[in-house]
Amino acid sequence: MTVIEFRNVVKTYPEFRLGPINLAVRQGEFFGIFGPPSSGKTSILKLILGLLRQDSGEIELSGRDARELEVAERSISMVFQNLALFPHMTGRENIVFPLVEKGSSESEITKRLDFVSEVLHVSHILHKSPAQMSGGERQRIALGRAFAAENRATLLDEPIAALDARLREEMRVELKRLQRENNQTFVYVSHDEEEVMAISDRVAVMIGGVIAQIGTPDQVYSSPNSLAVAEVIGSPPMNFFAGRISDDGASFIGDLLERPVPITATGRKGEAATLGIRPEDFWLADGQQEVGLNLSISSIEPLGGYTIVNAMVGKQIVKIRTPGQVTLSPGQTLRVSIDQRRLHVFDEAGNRI
Amino acid sequence: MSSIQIENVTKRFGDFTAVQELSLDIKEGEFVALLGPSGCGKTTTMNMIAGLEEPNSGKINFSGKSLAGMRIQDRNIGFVFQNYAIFTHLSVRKNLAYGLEVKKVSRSEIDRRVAAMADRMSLSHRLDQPASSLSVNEMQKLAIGRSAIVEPRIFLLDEPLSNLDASFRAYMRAELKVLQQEFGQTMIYVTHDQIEAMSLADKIAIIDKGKLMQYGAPLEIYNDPHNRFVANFVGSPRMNLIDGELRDEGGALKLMVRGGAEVPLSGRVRSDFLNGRMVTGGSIGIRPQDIYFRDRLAPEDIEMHGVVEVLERVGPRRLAYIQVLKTVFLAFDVQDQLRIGDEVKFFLPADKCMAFDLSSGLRLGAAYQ
Repeated sequence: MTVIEFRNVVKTYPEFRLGPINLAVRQGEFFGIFGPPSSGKTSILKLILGLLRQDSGEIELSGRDARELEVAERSISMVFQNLALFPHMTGRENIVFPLVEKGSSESEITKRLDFVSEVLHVSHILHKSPAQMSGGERQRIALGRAFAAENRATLLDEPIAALDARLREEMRVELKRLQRENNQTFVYVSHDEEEVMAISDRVAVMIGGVIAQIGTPDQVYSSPNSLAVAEVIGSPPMNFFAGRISDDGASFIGDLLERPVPITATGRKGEAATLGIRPEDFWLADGQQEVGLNLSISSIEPLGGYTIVNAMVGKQIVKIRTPGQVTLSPGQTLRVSIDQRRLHVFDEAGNRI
Repeated sequence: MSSIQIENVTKRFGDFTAVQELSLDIKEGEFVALLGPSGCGKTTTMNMIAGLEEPNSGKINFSGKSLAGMRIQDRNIGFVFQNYAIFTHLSVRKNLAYGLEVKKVSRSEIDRRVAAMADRMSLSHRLDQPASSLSVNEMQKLAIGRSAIVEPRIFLLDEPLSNLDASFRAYMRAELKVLQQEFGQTMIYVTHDQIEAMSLADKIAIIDKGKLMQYGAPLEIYNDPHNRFVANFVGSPRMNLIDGELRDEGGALKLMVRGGAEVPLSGRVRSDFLNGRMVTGGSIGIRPQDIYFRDRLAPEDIEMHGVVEVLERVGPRRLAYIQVLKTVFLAFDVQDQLRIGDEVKFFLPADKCMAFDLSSGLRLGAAYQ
């Protein structure tokens, strides 16, 4: 069942145009919206909440035209980055706040509070004020407030961006578990690509006010449909090589690559193109699939489980991610091979070939 | 350039001890990261090095000499903060030149160094624009550039990358490293992000609750953590740390985990526990990439059975959360072969499992001991 649907939605600002946006969020789905700052992510949330009205196109909530629904009737909860807890209220008072506002009965409030405390494991901190809670506890109280009233969907705007790196990893798993176990619909907005990719069932990648691609994290990662998506998905980012497709369409001739790279692009013979290679798709070895890159190592980032090698070819930096620990050092030269099954070729307009 | 000797430094704020008897020896030209969670005392330590705070006890020397009493501006220390301190009403050029003008460097020398720094930071095309017109990423490049340009002998950076987006952070990491290699300054870098610390630093000081937990090269710390805190903090995704009670059942040593899971111990991890003092509570640590599926590779490896609960895409790989009763193990689904709900058999290589005493947190059988 579709909970939130956008059809050709456009919203125009003096210096920015959002859309046309088309998307459909399903019941029980963890739907991620990823994009760099000011790509239009927050405008989408505001349109769902009813804080903004579209200039054209339709927004439907569970099949009903959203224009017929007031903000309060939409049954959409929101969790903000700063969590926006009331500092003078206890955990309990923060959670039941929307129910009290709605004028729910005492027994209804007790019932919902019990339910929320159980699923979020917050019974032991209900008496604390936000200032006495840890970052993780505050997040759970903020979620509790979002869950208190039964709702159609919960929108989360960078809810864990302000936490420490290690705590963020823990919270990410926790959020996912809560969403799944309670069959909730989450729309999760973040500019942190790794986080959105890890947590979402499907991801919309926003660039410059439009959705550049929607798909599962696996799809978006392994076949980005444009150069723009390839640039923002993956960390360290994909390496790009300028060049052209050979006259027979069977290989890519790179400006900095000594050897042609076999590809299939028979329809695009001789055209200018860009070859994309992810850092992990290089191998630190000579061999059959050697691409003829003369690399000079500029720095090594030893991360324990893997290593990032930064190397230069001419004035271009190439980032290579290799498993485990290596004994290379800056100044050394390097020959590499590539995984030819995992190449990305884009035409002059930036579309995937 | 300068070396720094921190000896037994303690700093209290009222009843709160922010830094407790901390000692660090930082060599000339070294890049040292102070790493730890929020509130661990890393920024206080940096502020004491800078002279912004005075320790209650202990001393800090620079190349063997005390700087106590010397004005901060005379200490020749450069700063970069999370919230880039730049003059937004001035042009990029004026911002870069500012520190050199204060030091009364000649005009021609200023022009030369500004041009070189702008080139290195890819800001040449922006030189005559107001700093306020820069993007967040460019502002931080400018902030680093204007501190680096005066070539301070010590460069202090407090979470300089935390406001930047992920892909730019990866780029700036490499850029900072090259900058430091070129200038050869002593750099102290405060961060809560272990990836930044690992990739940038020559040495990492891991701090928790005001105390130094371990000090060493990134891979030393990763490969041979001295205690459970360090093991948990360094590495991404985090190490599996399975806590339980050790039980000897007729010579067969087992770790009994709360919630019912049992881990039979063999090989090196077993002897590490047995050679340790009389330990009752134990913790075993195993990194996700060391766990493997399918066929046993060594006779002493520990066989476990569980259910795949969550699969996450983390960069190029899929991370699996495997539930064994109430205990979760993280492992990599290298061949994209797992599905949620699958019952799986997996192995913990015994020679890669680390043993910790649960009550003290100390590592048993570490290479350093």
